[in-house]
Amino acid sequence: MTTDQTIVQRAAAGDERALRQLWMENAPHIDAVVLRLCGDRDLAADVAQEVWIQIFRALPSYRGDSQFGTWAHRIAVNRTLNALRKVRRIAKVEMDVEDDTAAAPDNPESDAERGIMAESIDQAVKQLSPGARTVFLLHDVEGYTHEEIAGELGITTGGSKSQLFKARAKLRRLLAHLSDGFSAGVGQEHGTAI
Amino acid sequence: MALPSKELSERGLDALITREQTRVVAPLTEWHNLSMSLRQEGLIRDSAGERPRPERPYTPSAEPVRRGSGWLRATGRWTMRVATGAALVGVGIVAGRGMTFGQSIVSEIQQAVADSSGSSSVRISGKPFNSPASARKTLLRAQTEYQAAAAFLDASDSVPQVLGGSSLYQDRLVGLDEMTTASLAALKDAPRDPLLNQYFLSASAAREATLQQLGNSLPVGTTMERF
Repeated sequence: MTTDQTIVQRAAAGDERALRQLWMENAPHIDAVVLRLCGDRDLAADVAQEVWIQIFRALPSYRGDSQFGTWAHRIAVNRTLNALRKVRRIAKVEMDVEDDTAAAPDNPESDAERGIMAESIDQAVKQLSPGARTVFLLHDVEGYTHEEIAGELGITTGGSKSQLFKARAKLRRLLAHLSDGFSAGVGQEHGTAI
Repeated sequence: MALPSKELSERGLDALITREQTRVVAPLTEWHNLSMSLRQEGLIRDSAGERPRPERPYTPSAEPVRRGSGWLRATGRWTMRVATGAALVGVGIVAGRGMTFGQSIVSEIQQAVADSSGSSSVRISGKPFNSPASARKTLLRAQTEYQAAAAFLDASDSVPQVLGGSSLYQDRLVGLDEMTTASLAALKDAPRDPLLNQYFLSASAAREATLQQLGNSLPVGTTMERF
């Protein structure tokens, strides 16, 4: 039996020390996922509390097939998406595709983007529409496939790919001023994996 | 001066994404709040190994937190407090165990603090970093190991009684509370600063360990109402 499983068994039995140990070891990563998806620290703090309660509630179902952190990560994403749906941030993802004009080919620099110089990808992601932001984070940062994203968000895989394409295009513009730091990549670009 | 490109390259964006994937944050919740919810849910059972909490009320320091420019002016003093606190963290966690882990971490933190104040060559354990990525990787590894060790020690039942008993832990807790509050305030101004995150996580881990030690040091039958 692995250390993870031993601690999880104790935690599932209600041992506070084991529960606290799991939280201490995994909160920096799990809470980072929650914060990324929420985009707002206050909201993320509320959601993180729900996420951890859900993780601990689900402990009896942990079989040890994967690392605890990986298993908890999935729960964190699902729970956060549910919470975001409740606050109607991503209730109509497909509509965002239509509404998101920022990436239209004939409009490479919208009024909203003009003058915005994101200092980091974290800031730039906040400039995306909720739907595009969620798809981008799930696919490019969290490693979900388009099929998985479609299932999670209730959209088509085509919609997911479209959102990702637009998200990346907009991010590249918002982060253009950082291009000097990646000049070695000029001429070696590769396409978006969609 | 060359004008910036109109777009970041795909490769540049991928590099930023990779960096984002390894980002960690200070916990968004406090164990105190989370554990209350878990108790209400019935997910924490006191009969499952946790000793009753001591009854003596604990009052955190009421010293106001310095924010914004005020905090910036006090950065030097805060850094010194954190460095001192980090030493306290190490000593507190390994007290009586004859281990050098905490001292090692403290040395690394102090070295990092010293190096971040101007030196361009940052070294930990004598090995120079050759890129920001390797430095971040080391920081993440140290942080993970630190938290795991703190959690292990916290969960261990072999905690020896330290001379001074509960009052020593209470004094330590006051100091750690100040450190946690100060580092949290600093993180609000610079939430992605890896060094500040490290301090906050270290202080939080030490605080949890100290709470546990405090609980173990007080007479059985008493409970701590708040901390």
